[in-house]
Amino acid sequence: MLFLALTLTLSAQTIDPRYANPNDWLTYDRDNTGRRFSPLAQITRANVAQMKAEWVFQITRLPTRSEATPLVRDGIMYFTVGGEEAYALDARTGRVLWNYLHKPAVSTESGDPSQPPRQGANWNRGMAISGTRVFMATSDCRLLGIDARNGSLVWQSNVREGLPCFGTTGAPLILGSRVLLGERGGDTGQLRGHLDAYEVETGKLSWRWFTIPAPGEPHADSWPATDVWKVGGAATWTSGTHDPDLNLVYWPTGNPGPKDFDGSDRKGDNLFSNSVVALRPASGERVWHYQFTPHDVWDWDSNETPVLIDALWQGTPRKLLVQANRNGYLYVVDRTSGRFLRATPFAKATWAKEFTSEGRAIPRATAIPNAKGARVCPDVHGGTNWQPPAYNPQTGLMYLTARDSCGIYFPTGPTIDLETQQPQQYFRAVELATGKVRWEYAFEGVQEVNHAGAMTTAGGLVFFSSREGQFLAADAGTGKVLWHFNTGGAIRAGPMTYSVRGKQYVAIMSKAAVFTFALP
Amino acid sequence: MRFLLALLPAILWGQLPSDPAAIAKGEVLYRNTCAGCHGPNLRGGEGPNLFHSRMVVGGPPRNFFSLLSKGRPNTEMIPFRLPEEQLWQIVAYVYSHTRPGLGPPVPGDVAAGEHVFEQAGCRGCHMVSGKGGVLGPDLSSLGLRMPAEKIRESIVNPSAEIAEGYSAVRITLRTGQSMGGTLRNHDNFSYQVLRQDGEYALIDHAEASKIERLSHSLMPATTGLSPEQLQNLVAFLHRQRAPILKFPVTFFNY
Repeated sequence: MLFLALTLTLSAQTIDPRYANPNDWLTYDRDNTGRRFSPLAQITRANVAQMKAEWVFQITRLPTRSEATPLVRDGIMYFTVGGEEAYALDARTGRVLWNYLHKPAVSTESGDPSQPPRQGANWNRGMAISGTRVFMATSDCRLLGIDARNGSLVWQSNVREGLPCFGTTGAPLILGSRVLLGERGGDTGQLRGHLDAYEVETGKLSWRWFTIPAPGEPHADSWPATDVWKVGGAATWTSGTHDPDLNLVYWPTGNPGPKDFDGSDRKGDNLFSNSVVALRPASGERVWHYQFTPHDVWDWDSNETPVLIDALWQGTPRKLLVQANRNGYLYVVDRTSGRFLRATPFAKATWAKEFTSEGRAIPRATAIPNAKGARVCPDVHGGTNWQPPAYNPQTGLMYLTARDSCGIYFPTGPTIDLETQQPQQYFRAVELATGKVRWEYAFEGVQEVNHAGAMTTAGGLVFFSSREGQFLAADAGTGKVLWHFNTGGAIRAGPMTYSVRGKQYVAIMSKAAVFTFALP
Repeated sequence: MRFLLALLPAILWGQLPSDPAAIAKGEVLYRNTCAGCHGPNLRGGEGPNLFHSRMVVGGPPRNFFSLLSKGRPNTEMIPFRLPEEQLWQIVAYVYSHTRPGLGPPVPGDVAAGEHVFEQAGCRGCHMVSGKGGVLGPDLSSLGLRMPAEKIRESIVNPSAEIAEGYSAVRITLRTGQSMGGTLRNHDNFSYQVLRQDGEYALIDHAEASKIERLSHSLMPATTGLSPEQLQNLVAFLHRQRAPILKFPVTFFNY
């Protein structure tokens, strides 16, 4: 009975009314909270074993990988293929309604239009949707406004006007009349990260917030008094979340530079790298920040989803922000104030000696990269990475694709420590209340980095994938695998679910295809 | 002389796209040199479908020429050691299919033509440069896709040839509800209809009691234009050459 009461309280989280229709999936993470929790419950623990492939869409122009989460609104599915193509499909049949192929103005980095974009610039995580428009980022740093009805280009804006372009890969995020987008390139040693807001109607830049303060601005003293802040990285290459009641948008930032593993020319905390920042949606004004890895020298981007959870925290209802960080810790922060509440490891992590009561991580002296090589866990790929996690208010569990692996870090770069610990990929369910791993699923086979994301439903299920393309459904409470399907290609995307005319579907992009599933 | 030789490709190119003799020679060369991999109808075989190539459909002619003469390293696309003139003839032949609109600018007042486009209500159904309706095809790249004569015919007699995905239908559902629009896509199991209000109706065959494929276009024949206005409108539309590679929906079916 107590458990039931707790569950009801936890389920009562209000989401932005914009995302109230249970049938739709309207942002990269479904709604404004980043929980990847769908209220759909037709497919349940009891019947998921019967779930069958419904339709498959094969992408004709083969991408190297598909990282996008499709959106669905009113029975139409929208997704990107790389940073150049957009599609709309009949979500019940997979039949094409339109496609848009972007012609990059300039390929990234080289500045030579005849050169293909640099690997990485052409990965893409999907669209945003508002009214009759969909929005996508491109390999040549454009934000496109596309008509959702016929796939025609309405406007395009250059996110890196007058600046070198390293690609834009994140799914844009709609906030009222604005569409927000960051950029990539934090490891290039040439970027000062920023987050932009553009007018939905016109594509005009509304505001730009730089992730690194200029001299004289607050926290500029977290960088040396040199020009290094101009190329300090802290890219914004994933999507944020927002709380309409608090009127704040939360955006995560990447690692500092210009040299990822050698911090000697950027002494200080290097704010606002490896942080989550809370900004005012109308102005981009920063309200608070929390930095996960001060003065990062391990390339542990903090671009993982800032998940917004309303829950009882030590007996009191509280507005939380939870992030499973690449550095191996699950962080809980009060999202009203940015106050640190707790950090607990969800993967093998040896770099931190302790956390102060203010939540400042104190790294071990031996963890700093040196000429002999510092053995540190996690490895450079992290305890997790950008692949989206999920949170189910009915179980109180955070689900994430995790990795136990250690690295040997030199100032010139890292290697993976294969001698003392073979890398092992997991899917883990972590209790929000305690930070403990409730259950885990160890992936057999290939132990290369698994960038497949998670999704969870009111049907008591959690969906996740193996590196090699097995798509799985498990009991969200116990982790018992109830269903699986071999998609036959690497999965590097998060699943989603939607409903059309009373029928629930589950979808995932795998290699060069979209797969959908439903009950027979 | 060297200077003249350097100019030769540009000079040749200036005339080729509208030179039927060059296109005819290019066709023979294509059959002998290219069709083995790219198919007799350019739609691919062992090699890629040329209609899917951004370079072929929208890129600068020089890039295509250079690909023919240099090949693509580490692929079966070898360099073709033909005289430059013949390579340009191949380009001209391929373009006559992939961008049939190419040719010298149509005489007429483009600005006045745009005015006609607005006044005649064309934008209610057609987009140009991101503005306009969605019921008819986007015309932003019409000047690449359609020769001027065909643009003129489409205005005067819209039903003569209807763009793929835009044929008019009227569907009656078993519920008695009836709707009209354009049939954007369909197969033996479902219809994807873009209704006249800009919303999609996504219908199973089993739900429909009657589907009428109308032989006429939803576009009304444009009447009341003076010959000069019509000429200006054609000139305006033929000038719309945004390099958009847009696949018809059937592209995804094969």
